[in-house]
Amino acid sequence: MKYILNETPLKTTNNFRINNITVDLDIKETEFNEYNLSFKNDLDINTEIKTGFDSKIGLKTDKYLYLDITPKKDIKDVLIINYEFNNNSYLASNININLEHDLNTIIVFRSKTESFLNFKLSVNSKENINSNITLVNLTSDSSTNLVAIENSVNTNSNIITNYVDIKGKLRISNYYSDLYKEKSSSSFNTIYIGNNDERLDMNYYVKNNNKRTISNMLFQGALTDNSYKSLKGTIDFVEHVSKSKGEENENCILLSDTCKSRSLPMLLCHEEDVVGSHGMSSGKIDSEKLFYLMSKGISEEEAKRLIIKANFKIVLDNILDSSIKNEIEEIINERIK
Amino acid sequence: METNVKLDEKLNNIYNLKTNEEYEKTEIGLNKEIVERISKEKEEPDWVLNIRLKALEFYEKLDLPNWGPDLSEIKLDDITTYIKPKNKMADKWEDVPEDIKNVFDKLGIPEAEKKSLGGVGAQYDSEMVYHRVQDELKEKGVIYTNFDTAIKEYPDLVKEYFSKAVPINDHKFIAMHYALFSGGSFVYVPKGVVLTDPLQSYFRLNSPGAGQFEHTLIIVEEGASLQFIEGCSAPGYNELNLHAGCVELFVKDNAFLRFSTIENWSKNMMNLNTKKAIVGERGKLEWIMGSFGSKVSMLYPMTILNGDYAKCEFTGISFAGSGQNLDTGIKVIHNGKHTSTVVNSKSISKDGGICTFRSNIWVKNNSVKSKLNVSCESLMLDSESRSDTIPVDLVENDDIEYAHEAKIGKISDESIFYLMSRGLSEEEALKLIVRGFAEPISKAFPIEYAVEMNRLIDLELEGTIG
Repeated sequence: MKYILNETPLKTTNNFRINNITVDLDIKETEFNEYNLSFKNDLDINTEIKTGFDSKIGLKTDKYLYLDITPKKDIKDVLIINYEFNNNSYLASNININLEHDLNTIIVFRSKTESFLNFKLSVNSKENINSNITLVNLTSDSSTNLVAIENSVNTNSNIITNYVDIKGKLRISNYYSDLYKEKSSSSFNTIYIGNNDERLDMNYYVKNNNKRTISNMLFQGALTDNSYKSLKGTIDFVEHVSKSKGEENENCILLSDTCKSRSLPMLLCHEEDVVGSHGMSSGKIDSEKLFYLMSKGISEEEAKRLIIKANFKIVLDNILDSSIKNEIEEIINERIK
Repeated sequence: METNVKLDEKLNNIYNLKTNEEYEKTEIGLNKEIVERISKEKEEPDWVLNIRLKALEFYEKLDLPNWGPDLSEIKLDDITTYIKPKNKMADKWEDVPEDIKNVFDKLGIPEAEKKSLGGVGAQYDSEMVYHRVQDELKEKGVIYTNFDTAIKEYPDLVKEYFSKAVPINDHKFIAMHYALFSGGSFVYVPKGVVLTDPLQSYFRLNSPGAGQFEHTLIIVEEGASLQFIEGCSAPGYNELNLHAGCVELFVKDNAFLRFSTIENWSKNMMNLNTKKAIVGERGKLEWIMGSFGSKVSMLYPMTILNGDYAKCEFTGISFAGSGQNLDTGIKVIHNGKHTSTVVNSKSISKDGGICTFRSNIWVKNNSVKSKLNVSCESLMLDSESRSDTIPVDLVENDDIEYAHEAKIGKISDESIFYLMSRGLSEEEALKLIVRGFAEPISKAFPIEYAVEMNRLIDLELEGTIG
């Protein structure tokens, strides 16, 4: 069945078909696969099977796995949530994290065969919270992944979200950050790689919704073969949000002459006293950097890999678990050959 | 000596000039009979009528755009689509009817012709009323005439290029344009001919509730060079006016065209204009745009860089005040090796005005070694206003360099305070800073137009303080 998903917050010209993505999906009933948490101490955890799944991507399905997590105190250890898919399975799930205290979390999805993921992460913070959350998609090359991330950020709180989107034939992702209280801030950092005929549609939106709020979005990507990505990043300064700041940057390296990169970095502004900017660079690897590395005896292929990895490192350094970080780096090495 | 305020009041009156004439609104609305009558009135050949009728079919099928500003206010059935001319077009200023001449005299058009222009065209409502080009340019084979004359006198040339850059089914308002087009300029610059003085066409829509559908077609042959300026204005009325003009530009190999526009339509104008250019090998096109007027504007000049080493530069400024929604930008298609695009766009919004910059840039697979630099800066003078930047980029090859940046900001209190400490009033300080912000754009215009642009900025900022 055909679905129109991932609508941009504001429509623009239809020429480049960037306002949404039309996909043909075969939706099955969700199977409740294994998941495990690295620890449960000091957490209030509630698990339920609910009905009526929806996210800002717009694909509504029926039954889904709901996981509600609330830390009872500030926790230094990183909570790792592992989702393991059974063979050829379909999963709809929503994790809701109530940040009444500081908590850093990594959520990893793994599958070995074709899988379908329809996932939503909702994060609500109290005041004065600092949190670093990473989502890592390590599903199979034949997987379809719909990942929606939402957060509402309270006064003096800062939520850093990292999304590592490096595997899967069709990947649709959505990020929505509501900086609804004064001095709230959020950063969203993404690494993406497209190989073969993989298709990526990313729709990310931050609303600077109160005074002195700060939003940052950083996208580091590489495309090879016939891959095709659409990245829509929006910073929205609504009315009466003076002294707020917003910045969005994308760096997309194209490693073949048949891949395609589409970008829509929107900057919407309804307030005079703000500083907003976006920057986008696209194209081949900087020839001077390449030449420098090659003059040191490094092959062209290896030099390219090094430069892309250096770009990715800015995001990878935010990942708070070294074994997961190493696992990601190995996959990156394979995929940018 | 006149004070600034008096000068501005005078300027405002100039743009707002109305005549007491009874307008002969010969056609209202759009249907087959009206299209046929317009074509008959103009004694057009069948191939032109056929294009009009085909466009009408598309107009009836196409929907209003589902994005951008709200256009529901336009009552398409009530728009005066053609106003019959009182006289035939003149090539001597004295032969232009007195009341029309009076309007253009006050706008300074004949004065500008004497001083610095190679030729002038003036359109009043639906038809050109005056067209003249220097004899020296005529001798070099330069053609500068109104579009109706071009269809009659240069049919092969017109047929070769007309509707070839902008297809008749591009969108609803271009289909409307092709069904109703009237007036506009035709320019042909032969191979190797370099025009040092610009040509200027001035479009004036004086009739309330009317539409203007002029078609401008410019062909700059290989190695030739042209600067073309278009000016637009209208007096303010309560009824909505509609401008759905079309500009088609053909810049051949090694040719150069600078196309400048100062647009100061009245605040009751829906300005839905379409402009497109095709640039050949090592050709260069420069767009220079100042958008000040209109209630709603949707204007995104498009450039197709078809030849290797072809270049496009866009320098533009929009200024939206109370009740205005100026949705402007640029579209570029890179379809040749080593092609380049430089975009420098600025916008200013105040008193609830909305400025939106949209760009659509497509770097095709074959356009290796291309370079693009897109920069947009927005200045907001209050928090009732809006300023949105909506760029779409499609990149299809790995061997290019593309940088895009956008910035939004306000005027700092420190800057105002510094200038006030040097003896300027707050309003003067504001005007000086805004003019400074606009300076990279204004210096791209010929001096007379840069002065006009600065006056328009001053006019828009009048009364901002206090």
